[in-house]
Amino acid sequence: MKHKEGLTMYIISILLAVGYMIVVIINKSVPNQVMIGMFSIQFLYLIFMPFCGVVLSIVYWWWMKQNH
Amino acid sequence: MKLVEMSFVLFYFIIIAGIGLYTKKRASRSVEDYWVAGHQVGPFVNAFAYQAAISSAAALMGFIGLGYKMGLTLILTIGASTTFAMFLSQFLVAIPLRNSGYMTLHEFFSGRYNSKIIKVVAATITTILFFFYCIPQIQAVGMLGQFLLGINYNTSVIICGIVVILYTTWGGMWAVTFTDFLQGVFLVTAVIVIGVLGISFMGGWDNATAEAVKVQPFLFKANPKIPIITFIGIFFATHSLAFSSPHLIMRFFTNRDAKSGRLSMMCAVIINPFVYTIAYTLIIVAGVAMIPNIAKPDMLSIEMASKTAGVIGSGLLYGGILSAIMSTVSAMLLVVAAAVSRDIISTIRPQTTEKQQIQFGKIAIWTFGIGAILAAMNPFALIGLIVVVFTGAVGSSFYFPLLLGLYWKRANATGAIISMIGGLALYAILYFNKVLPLFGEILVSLPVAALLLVVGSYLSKPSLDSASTEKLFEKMHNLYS
Repeated sequence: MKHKEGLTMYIISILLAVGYMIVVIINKSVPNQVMIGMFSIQFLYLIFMPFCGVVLSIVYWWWMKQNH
Repeated sequence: MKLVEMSFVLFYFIIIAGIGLYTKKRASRSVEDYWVAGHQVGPFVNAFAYQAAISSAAALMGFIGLGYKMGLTLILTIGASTTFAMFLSQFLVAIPLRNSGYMTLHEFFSGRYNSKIIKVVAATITTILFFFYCIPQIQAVGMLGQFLLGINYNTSVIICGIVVILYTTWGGMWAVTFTDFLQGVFLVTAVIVIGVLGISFMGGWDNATAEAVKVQPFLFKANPKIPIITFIGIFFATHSLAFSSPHLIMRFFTNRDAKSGRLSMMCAVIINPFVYTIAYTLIIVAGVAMIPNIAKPDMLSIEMASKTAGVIGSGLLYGGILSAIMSTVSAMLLVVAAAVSRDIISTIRPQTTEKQQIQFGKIAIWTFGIGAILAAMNPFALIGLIVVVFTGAVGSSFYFPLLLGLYWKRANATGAIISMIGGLALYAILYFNKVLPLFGEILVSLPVAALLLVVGSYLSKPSLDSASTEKLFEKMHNLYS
């Protein structure tokens, strides 16, 4: 990838996917699941991840606009 | 027959058939106009068209029914993985694919790997998989027509099938784009409205969640019946489908330019969580609380719409479901038509003119469309499994030949062909032998497909000389050329 903006986003996206796998494994490995209030961490991560994508997309758009 | 709902459907059909007729002249100007809307589609229209094309019959029926039975985490995994695929597409594929100047994914493979064989292999895989995937979509239309409108199953299948075939044949990619845009807007509106009405019908979020958790204790938890492998597998299966399916990739070629392609994906990333995360959460939470013992969970959204907004709600939702189905079927029929006429016939018969290509394409749309209608009228026992098989099979075949083709200069035709066939075959073997938990197959077939591509590429000569490879990569990765 030639532009640093895309490369940065790619690295972040890999971390997000790895984060998902870690959360699923941790949540499903403990006897009663890891809960925050009435929600499991797996549920909360799945809510967080798409909106993290929205924020990062806007950041990427802004960054590209600045540099290209 | 239910007249109010029927009038909604008739109105909807008149509009989309009108779009087909309106775009007929424009589509006949050139092959570019017919297959990729003249590379003239803007980012906002493409984002909604992409959203409609990615949402099939499963979106408003199967996924919601699955969420009702198994809890929200499984459905939210699909939402997160599709958004993730769109997010990656912004910087990984939207720019280079549009810069490449091709019109289909198979043509890109052929140009990148300098091989006609790969074009025929990829087009054949697409044709077979997409034909079978269209069948349950059309079948869902038949069931809905029977359930909601009170009309005969076969009549519903034939009418909807013929409408899709007509507007796709008339207007090509122009018609598919405009109808997909309209259908995307309709779909997004329908799910958000039904979700909000459902929660308000149940007396607000707090009340709805309290009631829903009493009925479905695993609503906000990972269902213990679902293994870890399935949770991770479904993420990668739907991600790889959204990232590399030819009917979605085709949208990148329709963009005005690379910048427009990148922006269309940014808009799609913003739209997708409102459908697959917020609206689905609202619908499923309200639905579980409102109808605790539904006989057919797949019909949850329809029953909710009927309860919260009467016939208008049912009509709106039926329109939303029809939109999801028809947009997917039309996009797939067009891809199949392009695969048959541009990628298979034109390769075998190089003297085929541009006009003949479009004619062959139209014949292919009718042939495969009628074939899917006839198959839907005589459903066979394994039809429910097609959606699952399709999801993993597309990714196993095309994900790495696309990704490594764009970013690894050493990748060649031998490696890509072995990867496509090997990935697909391994996925099918694992799936049909039930070796792993559901969706676990993709966790084996995807890495093996990557490995096959790397090994195959190193064991054979490069497809292009180094100067041509440099030139091609420079063209593809040149920002906003």
